[in-house]
Amino acid sequence: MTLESISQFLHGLPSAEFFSSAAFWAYFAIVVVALRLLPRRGTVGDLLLLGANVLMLLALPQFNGAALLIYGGLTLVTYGIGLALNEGPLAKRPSSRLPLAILGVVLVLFVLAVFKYRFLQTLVLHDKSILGSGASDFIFLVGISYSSFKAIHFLIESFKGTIKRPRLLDTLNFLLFFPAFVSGPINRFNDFIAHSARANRAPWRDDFSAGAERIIHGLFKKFVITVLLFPYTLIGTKVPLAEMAPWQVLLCLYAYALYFYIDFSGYTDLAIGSARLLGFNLPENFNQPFLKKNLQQLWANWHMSLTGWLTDYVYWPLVRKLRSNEMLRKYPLVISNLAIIVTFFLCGAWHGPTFNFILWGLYHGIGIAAVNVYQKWKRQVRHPGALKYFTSPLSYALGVVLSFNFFALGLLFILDSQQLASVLGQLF
Amino acid sequence: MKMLRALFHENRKLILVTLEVFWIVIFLLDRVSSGGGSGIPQFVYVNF
Repeated sequence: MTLESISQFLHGLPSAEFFSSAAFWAYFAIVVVALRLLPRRGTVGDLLLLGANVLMLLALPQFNGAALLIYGGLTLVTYGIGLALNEGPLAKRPSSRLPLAILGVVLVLFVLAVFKYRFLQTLVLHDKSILGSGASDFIFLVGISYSSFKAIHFLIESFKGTIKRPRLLDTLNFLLFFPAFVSGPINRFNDFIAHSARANRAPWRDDFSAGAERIIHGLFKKFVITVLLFPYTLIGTKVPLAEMAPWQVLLCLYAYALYFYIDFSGYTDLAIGSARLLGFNLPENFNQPFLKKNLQQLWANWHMSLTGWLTDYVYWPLVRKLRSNEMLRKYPLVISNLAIIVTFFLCGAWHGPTFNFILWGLYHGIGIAAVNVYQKWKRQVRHPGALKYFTSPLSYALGVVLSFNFFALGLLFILDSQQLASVLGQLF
Repeated sequence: MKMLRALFHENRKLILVTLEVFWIVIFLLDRVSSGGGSGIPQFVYVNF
């Protein structure tokens, strides 16, 4: 029985769109009961979890045996390089470790880029039928944005020595862990291993109430709030934007921003709750981002597992590199702002394969850089009235309103050109 | 009133979850009765 035939058999069953289809919950219930009832200790437990991960992924409508082979290959390469950085002849030679780690990161980025950017895919994959899709269209590899970032984390931490002697089964389960596979949260390897050890022993009841409660919150957001909100958003309204007054268009934009947040935080609730039922804790992604006083705070509390990843693996390494420059060292604010703008440029490129996502990233990077400049200016102000204002509820409320508006306006960048023209035509 | 408030605070989590389950069931029943016509938009981040 090949992977493709298993995949075809699973696709013959009702579609298991993660978290939003009845079939997913039916399969998930079987997986939870099976994993909780069967012995979970040691290698047998890890193999069972791997089996569950593979079957759940193969049941995804956008996934197939070829996609699993690509992920298998990506994991093997990541694991192999991670292991070589830990032990063996290469690990003992400091001059070889850095090039090896860079090679690993470049390879993972290459796979990400091929399945993210149409022009690169056309260039690299002339014959796409080898991937089993049989289509000449763009091949979207579901979960690649998240898995590649997890793989890069694995490689960098193996290089730093914080991941020690990883096991292949752990690495496979980490990269293919189905509750976090499609859209995160982007968890960390050592946390996953600690939770995996705990999951093998944790009593069912400890995780059930917390997991089920989280799943109910997520379902409520997805099946009630977003369903109510969607018809009023820019992308869901049935009324042509050209027939709306500017204030109505603005309300639709606000509804879209709220929809975006509730939809994604609902997804995160479902992922965290599902993982908890299996005995795993996934990191949080949101902490009331739209109630924060400035854009910097908003981003520190929005999609936190991604911003944490970008901070650790892009922002700080860039800051350290820029600090090593004699001339720039005297200007810490310039260093910080340059690093933020580059980080958000990459954040935009990660979010979407088109130029407007890069503009969206730059827009936020420049916005946070402006907040940084403002914060520096604020620290120099000595006027008692101004100091009183900075700590007042009014200042906080104004900050919340401005940050939310800035974020909502940023969503215009990711609309298609026709929608954008209609919105701009009505607003300005 | 005070007693009611205290009762609400004590059982806040349970009340909230019950209400959420109630509305989820209502919306799902509505979806089933309308033949799934209203539709649930796909998760925003799935295509990222």
